[in-house]
Amino acid sequence: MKTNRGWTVASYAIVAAFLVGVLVPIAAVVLNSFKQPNDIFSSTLKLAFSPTLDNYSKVLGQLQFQDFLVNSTVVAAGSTVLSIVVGVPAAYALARLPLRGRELWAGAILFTRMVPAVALVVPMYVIFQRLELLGSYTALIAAHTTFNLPIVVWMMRSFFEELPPDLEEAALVDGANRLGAFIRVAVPLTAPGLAATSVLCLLFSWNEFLFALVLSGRGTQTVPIGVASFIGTVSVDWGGSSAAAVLAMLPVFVLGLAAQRFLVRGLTFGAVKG
Amino acid sequence: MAVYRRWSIAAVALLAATTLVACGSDDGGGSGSGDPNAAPATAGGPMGRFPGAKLVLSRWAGDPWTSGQKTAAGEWGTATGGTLDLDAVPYENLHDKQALTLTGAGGYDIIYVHPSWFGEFAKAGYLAPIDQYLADANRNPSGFSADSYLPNVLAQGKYDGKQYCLPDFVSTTVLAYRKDVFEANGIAEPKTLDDVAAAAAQLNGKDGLAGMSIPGKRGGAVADIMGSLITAQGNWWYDDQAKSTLDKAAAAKAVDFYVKVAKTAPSGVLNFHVDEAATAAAQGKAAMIISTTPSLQALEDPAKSTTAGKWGYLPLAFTAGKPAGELIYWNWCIAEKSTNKDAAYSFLQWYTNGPQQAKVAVAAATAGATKDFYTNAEVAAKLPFLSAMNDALTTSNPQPSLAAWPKAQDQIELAVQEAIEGKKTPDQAADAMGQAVADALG
Repeated sequence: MKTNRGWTVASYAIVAAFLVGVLVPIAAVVLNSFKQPNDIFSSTLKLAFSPTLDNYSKVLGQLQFQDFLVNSTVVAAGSTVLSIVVGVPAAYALARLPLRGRELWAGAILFTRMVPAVALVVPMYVIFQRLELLGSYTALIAAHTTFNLPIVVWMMRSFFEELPPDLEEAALVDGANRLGAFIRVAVPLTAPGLAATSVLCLLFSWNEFLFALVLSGRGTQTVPIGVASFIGTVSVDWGGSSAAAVLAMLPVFVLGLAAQRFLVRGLTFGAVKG
Repeated sequence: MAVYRRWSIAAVALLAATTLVACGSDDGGGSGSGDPNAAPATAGGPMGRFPGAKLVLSRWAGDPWTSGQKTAAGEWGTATGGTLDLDAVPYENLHDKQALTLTGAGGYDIIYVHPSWFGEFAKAGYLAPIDQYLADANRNPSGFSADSYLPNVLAQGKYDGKQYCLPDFVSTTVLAYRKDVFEANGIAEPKTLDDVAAAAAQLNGKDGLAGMSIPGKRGGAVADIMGSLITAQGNWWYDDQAKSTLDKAAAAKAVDFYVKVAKTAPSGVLNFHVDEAATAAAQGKAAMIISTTPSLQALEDPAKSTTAGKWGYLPLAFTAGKPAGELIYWNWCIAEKSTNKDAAYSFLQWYTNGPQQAKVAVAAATAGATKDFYTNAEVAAKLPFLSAMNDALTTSNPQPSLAAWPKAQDQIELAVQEAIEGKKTPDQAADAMGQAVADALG
């Protein structure tokens, strides 16, 4: 009994320490976004200060950070939709169809995720330059799809493999073809996994920096470029960058909350067989 | 930074190799349409009319500069009929983005080039010469010519005998000291750097103050200060033929000073870039600061400083009455592949001129590179460091612009850091610097 209580206390302590480590930097960013420079730079940590919306006013007014948010939304949504539309059927095929060299194909798809982004960015730059797509949403969506697609294929493949084949076979017996079984049976049953995969794709695309830096143009720069732009050659605009970071976090935070139920189900989907 | 630097080198090399053949037949850009000789629509306005011209300018992001330039771009567009868009990216990624773009199909008309990569870009043929524009009286306002610029600053935009760029962002390294603290402790205004080191030691720890705030992080500022310190001894890193001329005794003396004052700095000095050093001083944590003049803007901004109005400014001098400094600047250049070179020159001539520079000078704590900037008494009165900066720049060497310099700079800064940490004596650090400079310059 004592051992159990000690273990419980230790578990709570570990979780609390983890939460402090994770949440304190976020809290600092949120607080700084409401502070005047003098309060940010104060030599002692100031928790009592007169809050101001000046940083938000500057970020959204003078610096038009909302443009970065719109660009990120377009790119992240576009890349996620494209990855799901292409990746889910591929994952189903790899899970269910008797393809020759199935594991080889799956491994090849995973391998593309293992190539460092810096090795891909220059060839991609050349390709999009030749296609005259540099600086366009299309270039960014396509680039982000290259690293989102393997995630979709591998995650969804495992979800499909966890489904009892009997369900689809029953649909086939009832007259459905393979495509019908896929759309009407397999996809709805893996919806939590699909939601979790989609959220991960959105997150990866939303936070991606390197491709966005190299391939974007003046009208398509995404949120990470916008936030990094507060680091100047002489100084860092801590108030502005904090406000921008909060604005960058908010959509993802809201999305995470909204999809939390699916995320938990999706990420534990198939963890227990029975 | 280091990671991106490494990938950028590999990336640019690879891109150059893969696109060389395909892009080899590029016939360069033209000058675009419009009338570059049209007189300004209003007094002090930009030259020329460029209806429909669409230009793109590449620069680092950061205010007040970016916002100020957006405003200027809008005014230029209204006056000339063209449009000028800013592609502002984080400073740490600027070189990589510019190099990739200029190596490829282009896309930039105007580029903001740091001295450390000016030589690289000029050598690679990315930049268009502007001698004919500067010499053409029809393209410039009455009385304006190359002579309108400070000659030693304009000369930094020259490569292989050709003028490529127009400068701005003139600055240097100076000393700022708390007049109230010196007075309260009965310390006279320092005349030499030995006085500075002595005052730093005396004031360190008094009323919670550090003696000196100074950049200690590798990132350029340490090398800038070292450049000023060896210039103050009549020495420089290299000569006109890019051969090392570093005097070991001068370098050791400079390092010795750096170490002495760094020992009186707030904790964490090795992680201080110019902004951290200035913030510490502005928040009343140090009695003195040596840093670049743009960073000292934080000292006098009441929104960022609890010590505004308490600072005095002096040039760096090892010998009383013989101040010196490193000339810090940026170059505005026109891309060789631009199809709007006339319009690009129109903007740059107008933007680097005194009245336009004055609009951002006070908020940014930078100075223009044209002579008329320094005749503006109203602006001068609002730049408290200007007198010290001008004194320092009477004896100055420009920030190095050799293609091979970034590597040497990093080693110089590493040697200073190791001396501060006690891993090297000033003599050993000087030896390491001499070796680094010789290796980098070949």
